[in-house]
Amino acid sequence: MKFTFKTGIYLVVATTIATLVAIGGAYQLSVTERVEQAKAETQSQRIIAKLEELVSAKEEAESATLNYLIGRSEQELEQLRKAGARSQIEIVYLAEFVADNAIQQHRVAALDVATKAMISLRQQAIRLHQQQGTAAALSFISSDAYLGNAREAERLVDEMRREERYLAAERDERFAARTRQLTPFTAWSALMAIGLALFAAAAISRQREERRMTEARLHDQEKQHRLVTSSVPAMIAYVDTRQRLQFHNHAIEKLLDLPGERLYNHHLAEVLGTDNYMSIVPEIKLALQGKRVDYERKWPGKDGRWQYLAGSFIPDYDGTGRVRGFFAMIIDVSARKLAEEALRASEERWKFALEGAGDGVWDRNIQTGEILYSRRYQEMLGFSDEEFQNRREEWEKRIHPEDKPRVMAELQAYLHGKSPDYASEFRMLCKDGSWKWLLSRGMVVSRDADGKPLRMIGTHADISERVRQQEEIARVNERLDLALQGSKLAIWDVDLAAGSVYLSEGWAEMLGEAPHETFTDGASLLELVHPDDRERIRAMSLATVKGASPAYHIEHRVRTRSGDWRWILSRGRVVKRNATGRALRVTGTNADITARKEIERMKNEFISVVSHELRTPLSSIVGSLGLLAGMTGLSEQTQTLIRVARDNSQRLVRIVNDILEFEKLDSDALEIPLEPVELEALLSSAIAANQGYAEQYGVGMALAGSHGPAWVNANVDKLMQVMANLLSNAAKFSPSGTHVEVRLARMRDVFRVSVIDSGPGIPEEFKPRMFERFAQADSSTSRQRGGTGLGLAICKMIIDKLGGKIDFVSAPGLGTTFYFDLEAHPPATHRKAERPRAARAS
Amino acid sequence: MNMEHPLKKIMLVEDDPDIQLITRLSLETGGGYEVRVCGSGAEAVQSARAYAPDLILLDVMMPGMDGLATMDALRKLPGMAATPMVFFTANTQDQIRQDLLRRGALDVIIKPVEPNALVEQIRAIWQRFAAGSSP
Repeated sequence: MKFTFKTGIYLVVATTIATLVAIGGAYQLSVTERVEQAKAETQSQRIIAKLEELVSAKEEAESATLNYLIGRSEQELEQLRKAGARSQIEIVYLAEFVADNAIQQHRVAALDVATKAMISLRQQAIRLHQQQGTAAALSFISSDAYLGNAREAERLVDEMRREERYLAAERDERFAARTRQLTPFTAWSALMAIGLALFAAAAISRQREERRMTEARLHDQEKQHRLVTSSVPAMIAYVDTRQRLQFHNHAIEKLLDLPGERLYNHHLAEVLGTDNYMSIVPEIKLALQGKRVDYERKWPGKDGRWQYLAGSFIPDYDGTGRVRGFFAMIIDVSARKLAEEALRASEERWKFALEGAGDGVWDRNIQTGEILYSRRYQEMLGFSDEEFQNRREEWEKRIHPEDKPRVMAELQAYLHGKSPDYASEFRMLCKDGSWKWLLSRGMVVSRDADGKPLRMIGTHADISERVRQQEEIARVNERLDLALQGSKLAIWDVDLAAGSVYLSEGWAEMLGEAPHETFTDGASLLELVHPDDRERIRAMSLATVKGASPAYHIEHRVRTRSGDWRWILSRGRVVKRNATGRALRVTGTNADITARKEIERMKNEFISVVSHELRTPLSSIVGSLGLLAGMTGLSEQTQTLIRVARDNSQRLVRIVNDILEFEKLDSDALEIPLEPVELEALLSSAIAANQGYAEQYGVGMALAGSHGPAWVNANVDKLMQVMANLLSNAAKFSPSGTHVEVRLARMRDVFRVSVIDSGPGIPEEFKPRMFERFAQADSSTSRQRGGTGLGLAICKMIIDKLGGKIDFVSAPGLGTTFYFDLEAHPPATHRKAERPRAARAS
Repeated sequence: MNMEHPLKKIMLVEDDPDIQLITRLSLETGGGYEVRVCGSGAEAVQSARAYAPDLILLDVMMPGMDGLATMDALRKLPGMAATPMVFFTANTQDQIRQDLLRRGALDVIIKPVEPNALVEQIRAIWQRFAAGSSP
């Protein structure tokens, strides 16, 4: 309100008159005193009412405490918390109401202390209950400390109540006394009042007009002011020292969802609600102490969702420098907060994902050089949190000196936009002094307005194992290349799904071309193959792919660029099948065996010629001696000489036969044709065929026991040859009058044929050489017994080629057992098989 | 031809004179057979029809017509298509033996062979042949 000079004059005059009236009626009860009396009365009533509220809150709190201790309901705790808060608010009111009474002020302060102590004691009781149980808590609330405090609070309330009543009585007494003094001056006062009223009425009329005009101006100003404050999104309010809202804009009404009249001049506790009010009491106190306060708070919104508010309380001072209130400027920062939280959550998620995958994470502030290294990052190098500083230097100084220039160049290229991404592989020094290969990848996630990078995040993956494997693969490849070059092999790799065939450089060389890798398909490859060999290749391929043959193994011819035919040995196997067992990849090697084939051909030719050229004269000798021996009338001496010649010619035949047989078997190319063979029948035939020979030494032969059908996949002629060797050996070395026993037994998947003699046994030192060619324990034996020294070597070669195993057991003086094992062929295979080919005596 | 038709006449086709002698003596003295010796394939082809042997014993490696060519030629002669032919060779290679059997030889006898054993083998072969061809 604005006072003009004139109004001032009127007021001075009016005051002077009023003073005269007051002096005149010093003991008269004035209208003002009545009003004061009424106001004091109301204030007392309010104080008493607040005291009652306080008592009620206290009782509620007591009741809730007791109920919780007995029933332990969480609702009671809530009730207790609310009652406590209410008590504190009542204390705030009381403090305000007794502001003009120092004694009562003192009591309110004491009551505040007692109330807070009471709250603390109740909390103590609740903790006791939670930790030690109901009995302990109940004992606590009946303790002197607890009850003493309650009694102290009650005493203070009682005293205050009594004080107010006493004051009321005193006021009544004073009023009555004044009323008694009133009468003599009443007339004077009335007259004076009328005069004053007349004078004042004139003055007031004038003043009212001025005030009306001033108010109209003020109203306009306030309207403008409101318009401004209402149009800004910020919430603006003014709070006085009594914590009552003296001004607020529309945004405040919206925030609190209350109409203006429920806000203006209301206490903040009322306006904000107890909980919210309590949450900002510290800030309010600071502001009222003259300190500017900035804060952020989560605030419950109307719709139940949280809002984030950023507020500033700015103290307002009067002319003397005393705080008379504060401005509250508040803005809703929910959107920013939510975005920040979403970003943080997102960062946490990707950090978690990356670290979960075993990668370390780094986050670099490019301007400050600060880098946050995740725990996994540090662990990867053997460090813990305390040992690793969040500095770029920590990373740089650990990069291998040989790698560092390249890594820095790669990083700079990316940061300057010369490279679209950053990925660098390098070695880093671990805590234990070892080097670890890492793959670092990263990207700039924020740039300034000029596009300058501000922040970069990335990962570190430990690739030591991969690098080691790569080095190992390179080494293996190197060795493989050397081996392939040395062995003149070509590698082939068939991708069955794609139908493509890869052939290494050696293949082109075999075809007479410059070395180069070849990519082709099965059909083109087959066109190079000799027409007579194609069907065999198809069958072999099919058997390999279907798993009928454990490996691909075939010899065939191919046409070279010059039109010649070359022999190829192709070997391979299925290296990958799918879940259903279908072959996906077959890999192997091709070797040029043309030279070997030529040697074999020459060898065969040699054998053929030698056979003919040696045997033809032998035929004549053997035949002649045979005929001579059959003649009659020869002298005894002649007969002896003929027998000597005949025995030696027969031995010569055996030697020639064995040498030729050995040479044939020694050839890799010789494959013994397989057929179903029934062993028991074969052994009987073998015994029959060699019986005559054994008889020369006075030795018998017999098959021990009967076994029943024993089918194997073998070759009758070759098995007969083996048996002839084993039986003749056994007969030769058995003492006259003994028996050679032949035994057939099933041992799991194989049939074992044993030839057991009662000979002198094999000397220990000779055992390792038993199956070597021309190996005989005593070279004189071969001459005495007519052996060639090749028999057992031939047996071993035959059994090996049949896929079996041959061996012996022997002890000097205890005889020898030679045995061989052949895989049993399931009888079902031979259900309708032909009878074994008649084993002819040879 | 059947079991009642015993083996009587053998034609031996062999270029080596020593083996001619020994084989003939072995068959004649040991087996009691009548033996006609031919020194070459050509001679055998010329005289075969007239001699009409029950069995022909052929060497494989001979100058001029070898044993196989001789057999093929003999088979073409009238009435000789079914005459049993047995080879007599010093070559022990299975491959050769299998080839000869596949081409129509009744059996293969490996040289050298004792006179007695030769007679036994011829007898066994004839018995098998006679049994197989009997009605």
